[in-house]
Amino acid sequence: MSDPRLERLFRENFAVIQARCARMLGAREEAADVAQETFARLCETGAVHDDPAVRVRWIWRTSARIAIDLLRRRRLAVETRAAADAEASGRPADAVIAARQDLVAIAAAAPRAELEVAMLCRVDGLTQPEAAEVAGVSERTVRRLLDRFDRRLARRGGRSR
Amino acid sequence: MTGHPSEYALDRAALGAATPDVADHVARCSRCSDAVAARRAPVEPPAWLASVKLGPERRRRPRWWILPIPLLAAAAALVVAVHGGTIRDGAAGLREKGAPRVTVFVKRGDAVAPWDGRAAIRPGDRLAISVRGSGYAHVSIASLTAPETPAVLWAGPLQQDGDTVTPLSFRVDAQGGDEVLSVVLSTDRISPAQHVAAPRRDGRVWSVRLDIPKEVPR
Repeated sequence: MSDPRLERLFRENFAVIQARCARMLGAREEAADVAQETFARLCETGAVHDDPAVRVRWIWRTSARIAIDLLRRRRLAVETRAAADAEASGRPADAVIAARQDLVAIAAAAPRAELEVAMLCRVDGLTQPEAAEVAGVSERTVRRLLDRFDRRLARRGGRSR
Repeated sequence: MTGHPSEYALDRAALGAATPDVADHVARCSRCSDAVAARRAPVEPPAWLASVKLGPERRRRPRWWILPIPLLAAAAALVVAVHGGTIRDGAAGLREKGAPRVTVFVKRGDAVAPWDGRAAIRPGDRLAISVRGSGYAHVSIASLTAPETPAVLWAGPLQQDGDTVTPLSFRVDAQGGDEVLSVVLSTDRISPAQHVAAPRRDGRVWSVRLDIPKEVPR
């Protein structure tokens, strides 16, 4: 039996975390692992008590970092049947799939900050100001990191935008 | 805003931290309001929840440069009190300088406008409410159409900075007389009964009632 406060916090926050991880990773098992880890850290660090705007930012940033670590450790399989969730978000499915493949391709070589910003902008479809807010950096830094990511990808013969 | 808000913006809306333009979009877009509702769908607590530890609320380090601000705010409040206290705000509801602010937005057809404090609403209009918390932590909004049995329309945390907009809008029905909305801001969560108590404004609770005339076609 879990603490009633935890159950309340779970009911208030977990659906958002779960959906965010599913959109980010597509692959169901890995998304569930990242969602569970994100929620556990949210509670354990006390971030769950932050005001909702700060909490959402924390959820996005932390889940992206956990996903990137997982990506590097497990060489996470790319979910290629992402059409439904990509199209549900109003973005072309092939662009989302390609972005995920790009991330996997250079996950081991690129710094985490680059991967994080690339994931926010290219996979999640955030605007650069939104990505800057989530990552806690300036818009200029977002542009710089995306530029480095694209150049790194181009050197490996991948796509670049 | 062009197109639909990002998933990030919708996550903020689902947790009660929508920006005003996103809240307005969600109020008139069925796809986005469904997306927000899906994020609020109940999820059954799993077995692993028992192993999660709940950490203490984080204490923020006091920032020295903020300290003079409460003194300035107190001085400003004093000036307002001396000069007559409550100000009638042209854009709906009541506003006290330095105090919470409640704004009602009325959506009729495709047009959205702040309620001017007098105009009648109509069945089918949708209402969204924006609240500036001024330090209170929670808001509860109820309909007092049946005065003794408040119907809580929405309750949730208030953003510490800026305005909090209700993530869902409320459709005006064709029944009854005028709409009476009770908005209660508080430091702790309140029970629905608080909405029928006498209006109160102190350090723990700030409440206001909005009597909104309604035109019902005969």
